[in-house]
Amino acid sequence: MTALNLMRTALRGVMANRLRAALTTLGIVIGVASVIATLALGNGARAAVEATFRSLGANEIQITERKSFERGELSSVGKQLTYEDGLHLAVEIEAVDRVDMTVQGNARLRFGRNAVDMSFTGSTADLLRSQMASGEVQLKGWPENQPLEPEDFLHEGRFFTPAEVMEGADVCVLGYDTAMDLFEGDSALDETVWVNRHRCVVIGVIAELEATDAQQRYRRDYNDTFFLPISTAITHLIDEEPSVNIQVYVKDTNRIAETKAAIADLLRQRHAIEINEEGNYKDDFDMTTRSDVLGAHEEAARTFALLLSAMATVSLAVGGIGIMNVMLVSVTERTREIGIRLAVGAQQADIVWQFMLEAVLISVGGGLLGIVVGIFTIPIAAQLNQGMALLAPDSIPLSLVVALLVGIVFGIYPALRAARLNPIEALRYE
Amino acid sequence: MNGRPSRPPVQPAGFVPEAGAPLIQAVGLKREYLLGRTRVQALQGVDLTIHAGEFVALMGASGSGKSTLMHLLGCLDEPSAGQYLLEGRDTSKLPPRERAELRSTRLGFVFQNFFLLPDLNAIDNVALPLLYQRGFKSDSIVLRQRAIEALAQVGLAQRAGHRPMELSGGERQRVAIARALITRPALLLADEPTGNLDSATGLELMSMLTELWVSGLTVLLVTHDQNVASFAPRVVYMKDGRIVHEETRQSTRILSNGNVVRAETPPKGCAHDSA
Repeated sequence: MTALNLMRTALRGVMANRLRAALTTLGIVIGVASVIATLALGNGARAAVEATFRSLGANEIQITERKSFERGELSSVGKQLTYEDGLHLAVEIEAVDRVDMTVQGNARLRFGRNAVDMSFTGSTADLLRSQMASGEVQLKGWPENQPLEPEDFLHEGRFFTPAEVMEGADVCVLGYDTAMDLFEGDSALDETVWVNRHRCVVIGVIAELEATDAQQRYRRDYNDTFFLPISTAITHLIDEEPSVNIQVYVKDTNRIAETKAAIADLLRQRHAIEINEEGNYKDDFDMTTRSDVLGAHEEAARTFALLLSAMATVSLAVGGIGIMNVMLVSVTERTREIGIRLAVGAQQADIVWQFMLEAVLISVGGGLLGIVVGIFTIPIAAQLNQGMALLAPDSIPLSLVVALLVGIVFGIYPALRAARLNPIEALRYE
Repeated sequence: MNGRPSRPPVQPAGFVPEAGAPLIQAVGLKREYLLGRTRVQALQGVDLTIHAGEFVALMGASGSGKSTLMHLLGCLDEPSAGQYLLEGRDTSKLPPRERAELRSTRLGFVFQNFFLLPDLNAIDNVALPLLYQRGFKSDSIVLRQRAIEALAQVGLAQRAGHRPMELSGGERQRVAIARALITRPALLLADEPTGNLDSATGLELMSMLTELWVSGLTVLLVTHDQNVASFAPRVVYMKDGRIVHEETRQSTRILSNGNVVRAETPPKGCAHDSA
């Protein structure tokens, strides 16, 4: 029998019992739809994680203060990370290229009669360079793929120098919106502003920025803020010793592990960290590198994939068993038809192909319907998962292949059973 | 090359056997099967030769083994012992694949219950055997053409688009005959073809089979009805799985102007000669 006639015959067999075939596909529809939706959730989560940690460079070690929940509050487990810690890291560890430090706070900024309350960042001199390298922010309206220099981030003036950071100079750099609010479109350069009760000279204004990732734009405003040397911020604007965020940049990415060990040694020494009963250090800081994040993410992704595979396997197996059941019923019901076909010259292989193709048509039909249902479920899944669901393009061919395999695997037994019927007994079947 | 005798090839569909040559040779055919724990000897050594162009009726009471013999001769079953040669080819131990090939090229079946596929119309039912014929390039236009020709042969071309449920019993049986004829078989096996028809329709059908025989087709008719058997010039009687008697007549019955009349038996193979 030619492939075309075989397809026609199988299609006719399926269409003879449309409702039954449609109901049989339900298991496959649900299985495939859940695979599509769950892969979309995984894909969305992966994209979100990548967007969040995009800023973490390959040669960067992020050091943060370790905190724990006690009596419902997040509190330090030991000493805070200090500005001095960061300075020591830069000086004492040979593999370190540079150290960026930041502190955050809130202050009132005043110029003439205009005053605004806002958050500020006390930072070291390379903040602009780090932000540019991270790709986390971009200039608003900047053409895509056009290279940027740190100076491009400045609307006017300059950022503070390492020397100004070291000496705690009374200078500041304003965010774009801050400058607009205070100076109403006039140049802010060299003007003196009041930060709380401290005077600072404006040496620069940052260009208008936005988050590179569109989904992050509404979460964070990069323009309604201002920057000071970290030393100035700690000395004049923050009452208590603040916890400093430290980013260490290593000269050579191959020396990350070695540098992490050196940082740990130095901080343990500076924070006088002791060893607990199990022989481990009771560290009060955490270090994160890109490989740590990716490793943790990959581990989570593996667990997720395992869970997904288990779920998909169960639902598809249930769907497949449904198909097998219906095909076995169909073979019994159509025993006489099989006898007639065998009597007029059908080979056993013709019967195998016919019934297996019917099973495959049902499963692939279910697969196609499942893909459509799955795609329509993605927006719902996204709403339930903070917008994190993106159609994984690979999931469509994957679903089709899986549906095809389900049809073959669960259709082969009924098809063989049909083909092995004795033509005489099949013709006599009532 | 290896000294093994080569098996005669299956004759292609439509091949016309030489008139008077043995088409079927059954030698000591036996068929036994288990019915629960009882061993039933359905055939107990049947010897039968049918020549090309013959019209043979196989008669016997229920349980005489005539249907079992027809299944063996139609390659639907294999004998427990003995030899069955179809066109000189021993088919006794053929694998299912080769028996299926013989059914699709050399044999045509007509059954008592018509055995048409209810979801297919007459034309698709008739075309069915061609779909399974190896080497037949079933171009749908050629396929339809052949099916319409076969339906025209049995006078049903105008009913080609009707499904079995929309046809009368006689029409259904004629569709079944058209299906048997479409492969241009060497032998037509008819198992109680009038069993589900009223007597008038049965007579019409027998007349049609007689005409097909006259036109050169070899026909083997299985029946328990003496009237039906009387259409065949040669009648073989079976009892308890054995051939017990055989009759050959010089005349046969045909339907003429609605009446059954006796006519001289045409000499074997006359139709082939004229063809």
